[in-house]
Amino acid sequence: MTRSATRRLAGLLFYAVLALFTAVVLFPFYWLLASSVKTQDQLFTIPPLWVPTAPTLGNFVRLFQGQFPTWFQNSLVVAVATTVIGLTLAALAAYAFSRFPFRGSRTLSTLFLFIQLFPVAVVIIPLFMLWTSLTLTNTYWSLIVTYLVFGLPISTWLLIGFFNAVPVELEEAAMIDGSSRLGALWRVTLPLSLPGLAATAIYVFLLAWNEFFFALTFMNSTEMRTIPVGIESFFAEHSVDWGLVMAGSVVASVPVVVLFGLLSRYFIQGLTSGAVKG
Amino acid sequence: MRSSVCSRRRFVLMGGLAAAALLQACGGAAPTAVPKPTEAPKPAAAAPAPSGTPTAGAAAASTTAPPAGSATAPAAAATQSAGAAATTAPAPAVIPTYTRAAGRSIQLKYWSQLQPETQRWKDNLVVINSFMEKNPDIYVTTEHPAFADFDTKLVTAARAGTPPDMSEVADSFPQLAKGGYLVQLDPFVQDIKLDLKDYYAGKLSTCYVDQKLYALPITADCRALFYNVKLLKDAGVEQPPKSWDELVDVAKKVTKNGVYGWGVQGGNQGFMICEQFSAFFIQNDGQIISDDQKKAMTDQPEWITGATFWQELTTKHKVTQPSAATDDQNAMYALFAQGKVAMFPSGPWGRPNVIDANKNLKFGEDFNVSVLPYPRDKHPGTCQGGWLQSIWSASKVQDAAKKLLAHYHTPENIAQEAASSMPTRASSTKFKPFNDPWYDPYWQTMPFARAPVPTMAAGAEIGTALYKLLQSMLLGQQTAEQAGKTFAQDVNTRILPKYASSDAGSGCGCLTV
Amino acid sequence: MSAPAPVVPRGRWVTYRQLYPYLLVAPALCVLALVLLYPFVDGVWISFHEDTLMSQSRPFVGLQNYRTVFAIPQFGMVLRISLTWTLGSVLGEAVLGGAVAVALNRPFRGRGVFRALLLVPWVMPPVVTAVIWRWLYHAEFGVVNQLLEPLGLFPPKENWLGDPNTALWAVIAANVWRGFPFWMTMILAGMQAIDPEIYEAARVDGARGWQLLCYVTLPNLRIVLTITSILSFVGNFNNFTLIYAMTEGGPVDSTKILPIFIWENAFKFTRFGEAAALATFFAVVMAIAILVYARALRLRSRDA
Repeated sequence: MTRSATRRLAGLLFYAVLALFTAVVLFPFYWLLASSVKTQDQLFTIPPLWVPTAPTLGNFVRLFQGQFPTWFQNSLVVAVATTVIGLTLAALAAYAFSRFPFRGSRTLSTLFLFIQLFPVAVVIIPLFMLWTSLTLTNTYWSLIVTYLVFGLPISTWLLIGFFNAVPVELEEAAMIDGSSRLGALWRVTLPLSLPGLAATAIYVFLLAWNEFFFALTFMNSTEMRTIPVGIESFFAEHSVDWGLVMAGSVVASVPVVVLFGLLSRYFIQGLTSGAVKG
Repeated sequence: MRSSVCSRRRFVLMGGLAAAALLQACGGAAPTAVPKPTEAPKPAAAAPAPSGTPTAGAAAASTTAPPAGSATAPAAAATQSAGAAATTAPAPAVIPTYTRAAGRSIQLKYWSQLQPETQRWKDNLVVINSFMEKNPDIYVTTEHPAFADFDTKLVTAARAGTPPDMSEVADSFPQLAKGGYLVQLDPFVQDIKLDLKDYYAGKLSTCYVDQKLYALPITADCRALFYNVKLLKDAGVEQPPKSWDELVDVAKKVTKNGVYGWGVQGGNQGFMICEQFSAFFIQNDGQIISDDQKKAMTDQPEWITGATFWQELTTKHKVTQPSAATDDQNAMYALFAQGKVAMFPSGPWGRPNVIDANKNLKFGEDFNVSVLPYPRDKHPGTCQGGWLQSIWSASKVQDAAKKLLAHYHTPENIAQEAASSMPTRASSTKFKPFNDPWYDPYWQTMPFARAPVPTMAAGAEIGTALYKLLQSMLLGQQTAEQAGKTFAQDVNTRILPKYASSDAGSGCGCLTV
Repeated sequence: MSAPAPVVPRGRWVTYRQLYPYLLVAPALCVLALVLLYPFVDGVWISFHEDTLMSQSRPFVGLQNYRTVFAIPQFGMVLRISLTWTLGSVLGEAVLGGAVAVALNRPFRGRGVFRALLLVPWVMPPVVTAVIWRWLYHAEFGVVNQLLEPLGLFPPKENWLGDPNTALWAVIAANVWRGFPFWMTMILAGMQAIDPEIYEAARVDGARGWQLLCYVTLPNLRIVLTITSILSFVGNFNNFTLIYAMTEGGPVDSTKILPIFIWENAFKFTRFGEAAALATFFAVVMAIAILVYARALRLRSRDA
């Protein structure tokens, strides 16, 4: 009895510590949510208002009366397009790396990583000039192509792992049944790597959804802003509309938080089955 | 969420007053940036005529006039004027009402750091709309990079060869002018016989680079002392301080129980230098850089005395709030509105912002403004801020840009576009809202206000170094005298020579490494 | 990255079969070359030219920009702050992420919920993270002081981001908060990939608790840890947004990491040539460091 009691106690303690830790970790997020339903003067009370009294959705109403819906749409279009295109390119490349070890494959995959070492602050002007000469500034494409490149190295590398975990024999069986190579990739390998694809997709989506500096530089007109740049624009010279900042931040983070929460299982599963085995 | 926007636009288009009323009702639930109903300008207030400039109360107390006002009034005008019918796709409420489709062949791209939803921009939009009404062949498109990144956007656009036709300019202005990116405006000023004497000299001087005019100012502002009437009264003080001694005295009396006498905005380079620090050496006839831009003057007694006074408010008298080093202007308004800080310097735009942060405050009763304290034997004075406009050399429609510039720079239009800030022409001050006694402390200070660092290519680097210096003074790491001397040496031996060599035009090999 | 020896047979004509993998990689490679290689080469090119906004002619100046930036008085300090920031963040994230991963690796009810909740910081946009942490750290309105002051460990009304002694650690703490879920996820995935039989065998040999962690778990995590640490190192070293939005390098340069320093030189002082020289120099240094690091770990794993 004593043994099971200590066990139970240890179990409770474990839960308590974990719950406390999670609460601390989530506090900034809670604070964001709480602040978003406060009025401007409630934000600045001393001591702070731990639980909003008389919560209001006024900030959200104002947010969606402004240009925010357009910015939300821009972010969504860019992030989804980046994810879809990026995943396609990465899957093709990863398939090549995984199934046909070829001359230069190792050098190439290393190169992927190294070019990312160059600080964004210096890459950004040449890149902006490039988009200008292709008349792509102020279009979704400038961001989509940029983001998918910054997502490619890691997503390719992740997918190589997942594809390695799929037995080649299954593909060969499909090809004997008359399927082409790409057909086998599409019908056999990809479905079997679904958790891995989900993991990679989340990663790329997140990268595109959260990015600030490129979005700031490449988009000129107010209607083409993405959410992070939009939020930054609430900070004016002489005033900050904190209500809009907080509400905008909530809208920026809640969709990805929910998406991630739903898919986090696949994310770890995917990594487990593939990449981490090298 | 999209549908809610659409319906809003439809409202705006369909019903003038009804829509305005509805939006106001909607916004009434929202806490910030909404004028009190009694002070709200009537929709007609946004009409282009100077008589229609927003009323005093409205301009100062509101940051958001009904959007319908500025959007619908010119729209109505547009439908009346031939050829400019706004019957095509309804423009979003924030975009000028004229569309390119309305037979306007010349497109003029204008960049402003003001965000479309703000009152300041709506004040500008009135001027732009009246310009388009006068010039049926020109269509002005506007883009609005956010304030924090405005200069970065200008620099990137210049370097990549994709600047707008005309824009407001910011910190990089001297570099842009020197690099030939901006149009020299001296001939233009002569052509339109612009009376430069009517412009505040301190502000106008910042438009010259190497004795040539590359910009015109659209606002020229200075600072005054915001003070909390009640906190001062509680400490037995009936009048706001007028001199340095009184400032220290009052601030000390007020500082107790978590209340601080003097508010410092140290969290942002621009505000630390302009709002906070510069007033004290300017009042004391000190300089950071000599007039000929050849050497630093921070080792001179005038500068050191002013700087020491400012520093000691924090380090010796300890009347400054603990978060001084990181507070930006907004945190300042909030601390002031919450009764945590009793006095701080700010521009006229501060009044609505303070009220936003605490709806219970009444201007005049709870807080007020007066001239920023100065040495007894000297004169008032603060930093002079304000925005400039330039035309870009790469523009293919420079003539149209010059027309717009000329249109902007009438006394009436300057008063209109600067209605929520301060005008740059003396003759604009007779228009509403500037004939309000609330501006008196500002007008008293204005003749002595000037830019802390002259307009020069080295300015960006000097400003950054200065900000670092002020932070270290604020934190008590060194005295103002030490700081001023180190700074002068750094500027004289390291920063200025770099730019002197680029002035001479020789490419390389001239730097002492 | 499994890459056995090339199997392309020698031949006069390249067959479709030989070309096939290259065709598959080609689209990704083209985009990479366009978007990364071109700006990279351009950046290196600019670093050898005098390139400022003050002149539209950009003469070749050899190594002049490099000499200039090495002579900037803050150079050493920026380097030191960058390293503290990067190593502090990587270590903090690794330790925290590792500890949480160990806790979450054992099966218990509600594990999935905790795992999902703990990912939240990583998912939030950095701009938002910066806004919210600035708020939390504020000396007057901030929650951090409200919570810490009763403990009496720190002076009251500490201005976390405004004090040069605390600012760097305060931004590192925010960054660790943001970045630890990445480590947690990677380590968790790595641990779940370890064959349970290895643990069984170790237990039979009498290994318990910490011994299992040291002798079974860690060695089996070597590849994951190598890859994660490289990604984390590069990510943190080049992280611009968080500090830009929290302190912009201040106060008194106490959080001036390299990307901020480069940004300042490029966009504030408009000295593009010098900024490019800084970037090139550090890209090379980082590449060498990472090669050495990866090589060392790979050799050790081969020896083992």
